[in-house]
Amino acid sequence: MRRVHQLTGLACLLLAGFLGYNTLALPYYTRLGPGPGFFPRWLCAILAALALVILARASWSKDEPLPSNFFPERRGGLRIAIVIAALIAVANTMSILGFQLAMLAFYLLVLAALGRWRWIETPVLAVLGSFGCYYAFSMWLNQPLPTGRLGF
Amino acid sequence: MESLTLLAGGFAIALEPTNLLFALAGCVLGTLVGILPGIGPVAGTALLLPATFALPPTAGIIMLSAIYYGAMYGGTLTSVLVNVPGEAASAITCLDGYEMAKQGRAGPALAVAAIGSFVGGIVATMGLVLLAVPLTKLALLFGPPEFFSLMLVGLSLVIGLAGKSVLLALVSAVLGLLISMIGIDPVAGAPRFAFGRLELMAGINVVVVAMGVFGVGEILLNLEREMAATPLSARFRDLFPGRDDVRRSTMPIVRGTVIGFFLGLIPGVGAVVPTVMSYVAEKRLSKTPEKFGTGMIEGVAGPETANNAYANAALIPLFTLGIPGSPTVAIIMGAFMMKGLIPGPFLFRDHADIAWGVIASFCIGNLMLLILNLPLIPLWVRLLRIPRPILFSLILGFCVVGAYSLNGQMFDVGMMAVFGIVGYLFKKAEIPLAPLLLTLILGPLMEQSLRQSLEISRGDFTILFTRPISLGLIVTACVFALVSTMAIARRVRGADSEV
Repeated sequence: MRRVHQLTGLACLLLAGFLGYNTLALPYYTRLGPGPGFFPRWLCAILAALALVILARASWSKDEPLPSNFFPERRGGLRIAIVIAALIAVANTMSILGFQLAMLAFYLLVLAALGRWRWIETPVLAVLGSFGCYYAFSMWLNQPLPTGRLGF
Repeated sequence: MESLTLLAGGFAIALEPTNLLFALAGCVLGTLVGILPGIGPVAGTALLLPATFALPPTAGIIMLSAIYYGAMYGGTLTSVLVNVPGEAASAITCLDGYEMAKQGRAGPALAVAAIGSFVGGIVATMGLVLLAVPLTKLALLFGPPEFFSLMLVGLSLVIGLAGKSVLLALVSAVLGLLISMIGIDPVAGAPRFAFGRLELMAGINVVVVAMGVFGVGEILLNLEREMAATPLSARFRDLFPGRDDVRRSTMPIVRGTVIGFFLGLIPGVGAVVPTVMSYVAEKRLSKTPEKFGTGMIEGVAGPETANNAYANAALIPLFTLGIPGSPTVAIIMGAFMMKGLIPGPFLFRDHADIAWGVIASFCIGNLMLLILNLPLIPLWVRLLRIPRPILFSLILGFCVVGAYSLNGQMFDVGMMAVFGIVGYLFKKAEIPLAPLLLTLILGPLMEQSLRQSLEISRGDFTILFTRPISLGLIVTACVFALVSTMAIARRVRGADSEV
């Protein structure tokens, strides 16, 4: 676990530095008391200090072996990557494709990636999850979902 | 007496048909989420939170609370039927519950668990009724310095929520506080960490973070391994417990109620501790301790009662003082805040109808769970056979809709995905997630009360130490932090010596 903790410490240190730099423009103290920069600056300092302690402890203490299931199986890693990519793709394409088409593609992709492809069952589920969900939210729950440039 | 009158008014609200319907929906949905292995009450409550958005405040909170204790019961079903705890607190039930299921006694095991959960839940709710008025009267004496110190008590719980490392829990807590700073500063109106993005000016919604780190993160973790079908070797001979089962379960239910209730009052204890303590107590008090683990009904009745008594009692600090004692309760607190309500003493003063309506609904929800769950057991068993890929796909789709419908912007869906990755990486690096959620919710309240305090004292920090209640709370926070640190150190040392 040593390398994992070292990377955690390093990531926290970089984050603290980046955020701390961004707080410099905020007033630290005002006539009435602490300003908008007071809390964030202290928090960045504390995060940086904690990161240094993590780095130091990870570098000097006894190394623990990684748990046997630390790394995902190859296919598992692929599944995770596809699901993350599908979520990000949905977030970026929904304004163009609209909820129905974007979610249809999302369900087809995710179901296939998770190893559940049946020629009738999968498309039916995808249509229910996309077109069905759109109508349920729009008609019954009065919660409008986005429509894209193609009218879906 | 005053409490009982107010509770009667609460029942009038909770028994309105729409509220009853949402309590029922919450119980069913909660149980449904609870039985999905890998999706515990925290993730389940976070995932189902969007389902309550369109509802009025009372109905929304009633439904979410029902989801909460429904999910707690759902975890029991999988522990007994498939030897897979739906959540950590139900793990101990596997020991005897699954053995009973293998002997064809799944029905009595689940029935006793449901009865025990009902008793534990009702007693804890009565505790909330009795403590609500005196505690809120005390809390109404609080000014900004006392509130800041109270928030410090809440933050000191972070250590109690730490897993193996206090250091990593503190990192998680600081990150939660930093995320809570994103957006327009509440006092001076200056944008912080928004990086010019309009979507970040209003801050990052607690629900987006909770759905990401707990919901999506949990699913990503589940995707690592092959998704085998859930084996089901439970057999049903009879659904109801016999006279001997009832006799043997009575005292474990009483003891489980006491253990769960008192541990629920201490924020940060976690649901696992009362169940384990109850199991250990039953084993020690039993005349045949060697039979524990072979299908003893006492090993199911005690822990399950303690679990639900804890779950309901954990709501007492939230309702009376505004302190969320566990991650799931923190999500419920987030739901309150999204409805424009701040849990704590002012809730009883300013929105008494909502507060007492929700409390009354706890009794009704617990009764619903008891009545519903026994006849629905065959349905839950069938649901356990739904292939995981379909379940996970539907949950992810639900997350997308939920995140979008928060503010009607796809940016939140992207943020949820990002926090899903954060949750996954945190679990890999053994960084506890609960402190992040707790501080994310408490951060803005804490900052606001400190800044108000310093405005009152013209920048003098001693205001926090010169007011007796504030000082008392700061001392309490220090004691909590110290005791939790010592407990973790002992636990880690114990684990090391076992190795």
